[in-house]
Amino acid sequence: MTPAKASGAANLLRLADRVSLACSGIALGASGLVILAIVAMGAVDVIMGFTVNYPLPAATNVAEEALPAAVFLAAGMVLRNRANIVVDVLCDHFRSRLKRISAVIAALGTFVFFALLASGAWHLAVDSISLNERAVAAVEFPIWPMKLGFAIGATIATFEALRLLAIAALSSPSHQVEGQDT
Amino acid sequence: MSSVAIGLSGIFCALSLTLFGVPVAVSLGLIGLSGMWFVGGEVLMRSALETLAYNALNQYSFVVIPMFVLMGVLANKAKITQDLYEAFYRFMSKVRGSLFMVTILSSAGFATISGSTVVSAAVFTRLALPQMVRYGYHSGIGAGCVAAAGTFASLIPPSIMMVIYALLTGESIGRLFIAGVIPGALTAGVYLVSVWVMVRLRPQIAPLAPQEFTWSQKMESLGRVGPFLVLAILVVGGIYSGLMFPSSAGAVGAFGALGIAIWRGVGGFSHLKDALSETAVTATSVFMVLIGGLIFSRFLVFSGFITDIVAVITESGIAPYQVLVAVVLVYIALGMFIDTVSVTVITVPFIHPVMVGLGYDPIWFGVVLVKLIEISAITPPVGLNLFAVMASARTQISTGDLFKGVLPFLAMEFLVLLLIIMVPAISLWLPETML
Amino acid sequence: ADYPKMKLRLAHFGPQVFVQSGVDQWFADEIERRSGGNISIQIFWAGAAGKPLEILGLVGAGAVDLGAVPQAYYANELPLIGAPNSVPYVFKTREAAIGVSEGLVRDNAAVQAELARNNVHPLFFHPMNSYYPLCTKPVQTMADFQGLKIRSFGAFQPPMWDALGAVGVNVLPSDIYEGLQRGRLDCGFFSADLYEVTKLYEVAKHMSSAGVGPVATWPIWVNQEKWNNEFSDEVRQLFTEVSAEAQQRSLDAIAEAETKSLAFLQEQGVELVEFSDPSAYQAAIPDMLEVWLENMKGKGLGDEAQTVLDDWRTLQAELENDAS
Ligand code: NA
Ligand code: NA
Repeated sequence: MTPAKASGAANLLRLADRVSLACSGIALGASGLVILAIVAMGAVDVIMGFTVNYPLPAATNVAEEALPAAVFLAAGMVLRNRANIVVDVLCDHFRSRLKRISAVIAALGTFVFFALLASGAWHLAVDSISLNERAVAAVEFPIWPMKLGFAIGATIATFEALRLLAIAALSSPSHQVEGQDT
Repeated sequence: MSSVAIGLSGIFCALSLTLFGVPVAVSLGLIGLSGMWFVGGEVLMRSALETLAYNALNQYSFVVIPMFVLMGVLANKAKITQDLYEAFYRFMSKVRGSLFMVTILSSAGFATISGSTVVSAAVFTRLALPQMVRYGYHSGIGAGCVAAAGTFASLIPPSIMMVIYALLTGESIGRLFIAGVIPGALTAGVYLVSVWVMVRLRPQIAPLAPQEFTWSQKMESLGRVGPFLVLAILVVGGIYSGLMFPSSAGAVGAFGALGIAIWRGVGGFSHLKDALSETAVTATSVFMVLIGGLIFSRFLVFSGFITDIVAVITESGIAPYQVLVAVVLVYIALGMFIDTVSVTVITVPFIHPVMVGLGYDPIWFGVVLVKLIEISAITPPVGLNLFAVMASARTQISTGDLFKGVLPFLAMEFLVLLLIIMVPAISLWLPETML
Repeated sequence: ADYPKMKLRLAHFGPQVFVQSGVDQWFADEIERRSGGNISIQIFWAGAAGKPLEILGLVGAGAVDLGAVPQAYYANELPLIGAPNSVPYVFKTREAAIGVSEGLVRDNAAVQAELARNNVHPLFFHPMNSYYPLCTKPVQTMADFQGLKIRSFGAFQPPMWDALGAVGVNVLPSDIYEGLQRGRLDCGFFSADLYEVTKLYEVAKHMSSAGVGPVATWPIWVNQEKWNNEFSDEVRQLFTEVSAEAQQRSLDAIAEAETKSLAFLQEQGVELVEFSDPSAYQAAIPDMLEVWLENMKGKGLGDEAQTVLDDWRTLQAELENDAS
């Protein structure tokens, strides 16, 4: 491609990179907070059971309903950090051309998979909101915010996957682009 | 296309993509989804997309994974484990491979509170691997040791797999738990002896301390293991005294580790933020594989592959020991490529009555089965424990190193499996004596 | 009749060891036998084809043809027909629990609308035996309930434990055994036949007679659109016939299971503790149907729930007076 086009693409990539970094970072923070909240609830539950013989009502229910959101909110950063589990025993030995093909296929597959998961997650979240879904528990807390968080996390991961796909597809095999090889 | 052909093609495709460098979760998930489309149409595929991922994660038994991972991350940050390993290293400075041994022993100890092998592997990668690397140990074998020792969690009670087996078959949970004690201890013993032999054959994998430590140095390091003991007593004591359920232990352990981190001055906002980010990323990369595996195994269920392959064995009319050998081989072969936990749920209801009908003891068979599931968690290329180690170790090792490093431990596992099969008393003596 | 070739999939939430599961297997076998082998039903046990909370959606979407999962698991989707499954201390007989559920499906417009919204139709309901506390110490008097740590679940069991002064504990099924063993829990809370399956008698030896009465539990769900539009009259006829017999078999099997399991538990050293003051127990527990109605009002379902309650009370009175 011409230098002008290449630099236009690079600018676009840089912008996409900044936006997706911000989104993945915020989502990761939210995921961490949810995990911290689960820890706190679990500890308070045990302490209350021990001291006043009255466990925190619905603590286990809240924890299990919050888990999917916590997991998917961190998915964007997992992709970004290339913390996705990859078996690299063979592809480490690929020659550069094959390596590039494998990187593009991996990125494309990841994008398709997360896009599919995100579409399913939105379907689930919309159903939940329309039902005003609440937990079946001693305290009937709303579930839809957790499903919404799950869908938002899956969406951010999809954008992150798209960015990685663009990097894999646009990067020239002769020089390494940031995050190209792990 | 027969169901067996469909299933095998699915496994072949998922495996090819995985080896071609596609993330494990993605290759299992995408092939699983395509497979579901193939065997059940778009409706089946869409329904899996919409509800499977959420409902797979939405289970309290999974909450312990991020909890214990956080405990491990914080324990590492607060140097709780570093101090334990340091003390051990100083006291055992003349024993080659002592850090492998302390890893094996503490994994066995952790198995008495954790029923999940993935949790053990993820936690000990955090705790033990950096220490082994710090003292110049071979990182691949160290990682293999962590992954393999993590499997103790499902033989030594409590054990989630045994509870599942009991519920599916109606066998006694208590008998199964007790039956797992000796095989679990035996596995740990075989590991210890084999490691002792291994470091003699290849001394370079576990260098000795360059100098002898003085008594005051030893005592000084011993003085710093207090926080570790506090944490261990909190978690183990909490469960065994009836203060909390095993499923609460993760949260309490993480809470305790946070307290110690604050006390040691590494519990501030930025430390906590790092620890939580690390925990979320680690847990999520394990959960992604779990989801991919569930999508894939649901495809195998709907294709009829699982039930047909069981039927082939059980209806073949071969001798009892041949059936046993066939069952073992199928689990090992399948276990190399797919996660056998979900497969077990489907196969046990068919296989259990057949084995009992052939005269095999159902408690003994439960132990054999749990052992087979343990083995499948550490057989490359698809093994959940291996992935839990990868997720937690990140850049410290490559997949290739890990796959090679786990091989000696796989050999030990096969040895123990053979012993358990040949000598049923290893599993049955204790329950028969105690109950 | 000449039946079309059909290969149906049934996603089952539970393992084969439940008594009702045996009836579900009989149902599948019997459909196959009576259709001359033309209609086969493959059952996927223990959540293999879908987690418990997915199954209703899988049936409604047509991803599987049939499903077996308790209606109470779907408090948001099936708040009305879920009630005879989830509200404790209402029924005196298994027949009434089943009959009320059947009657509501047959007669109550709000229930029918709820089923249509989810695109599912229940073929027949299973009964479930009364739950009783199985404890590590005898529970004989009202005072014994004070501070008693007992398994709790769902939305309607907790208010009952609160009223009795007991401490409801939400516990993972795989933790109950150890919880009893180590003292984190004083009592399990299941039926006699489920105690036999879950092996809790190994670690708790006192079963109190202070129970909650039977309830209705999982039906075999069928995709409503397929049932109405794709199944031929002969097929529907066959399914209806076998369903009715299966329901009766389930009633018989569950009654027999209770007797057998009680004897089995005693053989295993479980002591049956007669509760000393049943009238105080009864007086302490609120009218659970009113508790349910209040809950439904809170969800904006007061009018629908009131019609359900009216039908329920009429049906239950008829069925339980017949029985006595
Ligand atoms: Na264990
Ligand atoms: Na494996």
